[in-house]
Amino acid sequence: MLRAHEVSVHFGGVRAVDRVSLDVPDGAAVGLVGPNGSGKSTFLNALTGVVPATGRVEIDGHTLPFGKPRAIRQCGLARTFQTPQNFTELSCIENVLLSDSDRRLTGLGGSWVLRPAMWRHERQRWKRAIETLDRVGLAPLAEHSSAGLSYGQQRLLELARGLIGEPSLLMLDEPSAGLNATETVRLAEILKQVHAQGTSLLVVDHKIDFIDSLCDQIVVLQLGQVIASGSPDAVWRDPQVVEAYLGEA
Amino acid sequence: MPGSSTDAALARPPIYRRQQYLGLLGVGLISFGLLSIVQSKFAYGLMQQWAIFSILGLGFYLVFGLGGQFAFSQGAFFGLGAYSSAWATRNLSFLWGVGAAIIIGCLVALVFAIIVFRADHFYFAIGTMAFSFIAIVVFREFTAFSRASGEVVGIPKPQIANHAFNTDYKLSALLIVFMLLALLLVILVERSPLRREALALNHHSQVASTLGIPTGKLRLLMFVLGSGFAAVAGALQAHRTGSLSTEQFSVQLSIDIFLILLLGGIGSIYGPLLGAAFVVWAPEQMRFIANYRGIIYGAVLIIVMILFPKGLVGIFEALWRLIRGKRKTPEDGLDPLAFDEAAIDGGANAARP
Amino acid sequence: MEKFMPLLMTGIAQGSIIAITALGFLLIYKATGVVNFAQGDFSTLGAYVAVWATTKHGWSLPTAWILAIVVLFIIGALIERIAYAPLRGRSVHVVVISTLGAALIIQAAIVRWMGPLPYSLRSPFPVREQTVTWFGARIPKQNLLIIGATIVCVVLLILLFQKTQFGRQVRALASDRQVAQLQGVRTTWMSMLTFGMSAALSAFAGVLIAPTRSVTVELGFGVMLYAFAAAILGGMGNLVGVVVAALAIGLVRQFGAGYISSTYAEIFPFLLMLVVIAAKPQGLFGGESRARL
Repeated sequence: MLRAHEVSVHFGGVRAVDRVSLDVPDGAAVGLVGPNGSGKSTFLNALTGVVPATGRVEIDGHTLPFGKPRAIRQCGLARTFQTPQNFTELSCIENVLLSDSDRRLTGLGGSWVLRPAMWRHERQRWKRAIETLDRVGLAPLAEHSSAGLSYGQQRLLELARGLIGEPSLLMLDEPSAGLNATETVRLAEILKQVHAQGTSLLVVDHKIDFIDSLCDQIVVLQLGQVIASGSPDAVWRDPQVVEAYLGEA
Repeated sequence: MPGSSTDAALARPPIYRRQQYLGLLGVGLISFGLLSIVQSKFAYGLMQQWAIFSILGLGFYLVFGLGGQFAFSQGAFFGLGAYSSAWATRNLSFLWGVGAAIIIGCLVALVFAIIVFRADHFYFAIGTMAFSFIAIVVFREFTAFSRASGEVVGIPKPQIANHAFNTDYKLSALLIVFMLLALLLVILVERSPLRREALALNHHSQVASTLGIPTGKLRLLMFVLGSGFAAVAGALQAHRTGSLSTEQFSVQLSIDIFLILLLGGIGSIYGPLLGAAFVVWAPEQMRFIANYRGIIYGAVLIIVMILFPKGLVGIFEALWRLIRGKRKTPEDGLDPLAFDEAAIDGGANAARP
Repeated sequence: MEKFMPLLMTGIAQGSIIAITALGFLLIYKATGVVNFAQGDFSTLGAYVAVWATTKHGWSLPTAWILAIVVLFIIGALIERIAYAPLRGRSVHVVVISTLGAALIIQAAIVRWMGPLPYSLRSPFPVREQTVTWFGARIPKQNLLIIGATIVCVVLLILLFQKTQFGRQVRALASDRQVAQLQGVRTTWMSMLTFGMSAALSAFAGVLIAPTRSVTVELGFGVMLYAFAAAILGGMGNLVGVVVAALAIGLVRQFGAGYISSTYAEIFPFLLMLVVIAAKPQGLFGGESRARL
């Protein structure tokens, strides 16, 4: 359960995100839309601690510490990026393993001293990673280098990385960008399954059909401010929203 | 599909399939094999130098290859280890000398890295250059136990529990054992979550931190470890040659260490060994190039950067694949030095030319 | 006072040399994003060219200076072609290592060409008239020359960057290379020019400082480290900030040597730099903190 209250991000005089408040209830799927430059990605960046921000964000009752990506991850928040940021030097399974929430004995102690215990944890992590890759259909490619994946597969890999460790909330930044129609449909199916299995989602995207099929609630941003929020039907009929989208052309 | 990948229960990070322990054994056999063949004092000297440079290179692999830090301080820690051991063994035994080198080296590295913790790559790199320079001046001027201008003589040969390593053969064997130990420690790091986390931190540290990886601490760890390796190498060098002078530890040496790692192959634990072998062996084979050493090294650096980003190891790997009839893998085109910071806002991802 | 004036003038003179080198380094950095580790060797080579011209060929000093500057301009442009252009589009680390390689080559080539023994470059002032007396202290005229030349140089550079087409293009390149290309800035040509100019600047620094010490392969290296320090302290982008920082470094060095400890004087500027890096990674004057490394 995510509660964001008056989150703001300033960039040298410009308010990229201006007092945005939104809630993602447990098990919900919320879409975040808006014309280009409305601050959607910046909002996600603020939540994951990548840019400095003000305001207050709570997840499952814990306050999120702004500007501390690691602590935020530990609070159960995971995200994907606008272009897939996979580590091409690593295999698919390693990419997924990086984001696991079980970090016991991943340091020097585990490496030089307590190796048997480290192996035990590693094997459990491998098992979880394979299961996660299976959820997105990439299990056969687990040991392959992530460099050789197609763009659609890169997106799925990033998704798997976001899913491992059962995050409380998974935030997706334009997950369908760059995918063709078939891949988009497939992605929507996978995300629906993920949602059905209990993960809360916050999805930023431009493809309206995609968002509508996935989300039960939509929040619209323009110039860093929330201009509408509610069910897809209500939002798309809102005159302010219509103008925001038409007006930008 | 290769059989191992379809069996989900057995899938694991491919790095664990690389038989590094076998490789360690191989290196050990080759080293001792070579050692049994050589006869001349000169050849022994080469092997000893190779072992020491390998340890230096392995340390730099941790700092730069895994940790991604551009650092010019390996030479300074080499010197720090040498002087520390020389100082300690005035009253204590050899192993304590090495211990002193490790402790002092790691402590100084830790303090330095914490001081410049908030600096990004470039400032850190220049900071290590400054550190190097400061270190040399200190070595030169701090004459509490050295002679004028940082000279030290009379450092004893290694001795462990009444067994003195005072023949060429014994000394070489000891140094090779140290090198194998260093290689083992690096292998242990390779075969652990540290490797993937270090590589992730290397390539997109901001993204890595959003995944929960402790990027700051990891960088620190790699730097301290690598500097510790350099200190040990320095201690061994001190006891091997018996004397020290400050010219040995200049920024020039740190640049040569870059060459050792890059030429050998930055993405592999065997890279430092190959690079060290080249740096030690090549000038002897090509006597005439000894005069042109600097020019050749500089040219090699540039050419390797342009043509062989994966270094000698990459060449060997390519040959190996050719022999086994495999086709190119997707990793072939990768530049192991492509450390790009992810541009997260707006999604633009390209490294600016 | 007897100690103060000479130290002050030497400090400003040293700072001036550092400033010129730092500006040359910044020129390349702003235009191409590359950290050029061969910067110091440009100075060394410049000094050696001047030495070669005067001692082996008996040419006059001004001719030797001009030769050094021109030759280094060409060499700078060449290095851009050989060590930088083929690696365009690769990561910056690769290019930096290339400049390291170039530095090695230059140093080794100098030793092959002129031998390892030190040389000296005579000063333009006649032997008996090397100093002036100000406020009761003897000041080497070379220092005054250095300071004067640097002032002229810096003013010219500022004018160049603020007022000319070339300067605008460099600034466009510095802020966004791709956009600059789209706007018609001829980036290949510009890269060569900036490398050449930077090398020429360093050569100028080299011939200015050579008469105050012996000319060896290490001549430029020490200056380069201080120049990096000045660039960092000055915030990596701020022309004035870098010049001020360079002067500060020269003064710290001299006054440190004179009043505190001459043996450790060399390291004071670096200690200062480490303190600045630790406390304020953006340098003292702000500006870009994110160099491309």
